[in-house]
Amino acid sequence: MSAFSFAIDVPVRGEWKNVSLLVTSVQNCFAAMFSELDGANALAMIAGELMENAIKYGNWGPKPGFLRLGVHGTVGKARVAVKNPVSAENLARLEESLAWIKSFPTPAEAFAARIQEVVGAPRGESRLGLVRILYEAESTLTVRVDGGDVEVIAEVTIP
Amino acid sequence: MRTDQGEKRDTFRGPRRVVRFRIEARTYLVYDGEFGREAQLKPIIIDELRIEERAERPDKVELWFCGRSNARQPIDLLGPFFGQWLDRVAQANQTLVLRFEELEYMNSSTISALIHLIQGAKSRTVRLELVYAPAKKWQKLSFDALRVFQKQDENLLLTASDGVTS
Repeated sequence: MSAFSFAIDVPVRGEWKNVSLLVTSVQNCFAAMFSELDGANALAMIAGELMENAIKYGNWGPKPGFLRLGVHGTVGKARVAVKNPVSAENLARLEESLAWIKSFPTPAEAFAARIQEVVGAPRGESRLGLVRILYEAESTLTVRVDGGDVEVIAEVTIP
Repeated sequence: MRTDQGEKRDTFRGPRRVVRFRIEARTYLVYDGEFGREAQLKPIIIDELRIEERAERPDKVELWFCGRSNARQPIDLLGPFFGQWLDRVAQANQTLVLRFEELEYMNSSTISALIHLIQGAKSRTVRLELVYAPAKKWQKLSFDALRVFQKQDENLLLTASDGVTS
């Protein structure tokens, strides 16, 4: 491991209050590493949006299970990944969302379109998280399926 | 109507729907209808988000967002709260100014709640101004994207603040 490599890899109970705890932790860890805060804020936002999606759309039983948050990187780049159990229905919905985003020339245009859609959407449903990650953090997003689990991975360049 | 102190409050009217907000260490009840006096003057705390009124002039009311907005369904809490404010400023012909410079983080569900707030202001023909800190990249990107609504509503103004707070 090089001198500037970093890694956070933790199981997280799938409870809403834990999102904020982890977002703050990621933000603080990277605020200590980076000379400016935008990179730290972007990584924290990615971690937060992915964990929120995992808790909202994960295939959880009657008791909350664990999702897994990983934040890894080295000089100039970072990778944020969240893994959780998923139903076939919600996996299809995730893939549909990513395909919809890719139908736009840029993430900014997809974000603008999604914002307009929120106006007519049921209150409380935004579906802004993934497109926000692509737009605000200028990241890439990939999905890996492993049995009944899905891992959503965002890769981002750190200034 | 009785408050948690058990005394009569004539300022609370029209209890068609009751919303509970934690204000500092106490809970007040805010009803559809007129705001209670305390609710106008004390900060509202929703989890790690604090919204406080810092300035009221004849022409405008300023509400400052501080801390972090990370509720699962912020619209459930912010919707009724801002509905009250929108009704109030509409009656007084004031501008509602929301200041985000001190906000450290908001999730995408909060962005969705703000979009519904913008639509609520538009339907009431209320002047609404959102002030953000462009030096914070996440704020610049999020609020710049909301400018699409400014083009559709002459009563909406998005302002990049010069005096940025960290």
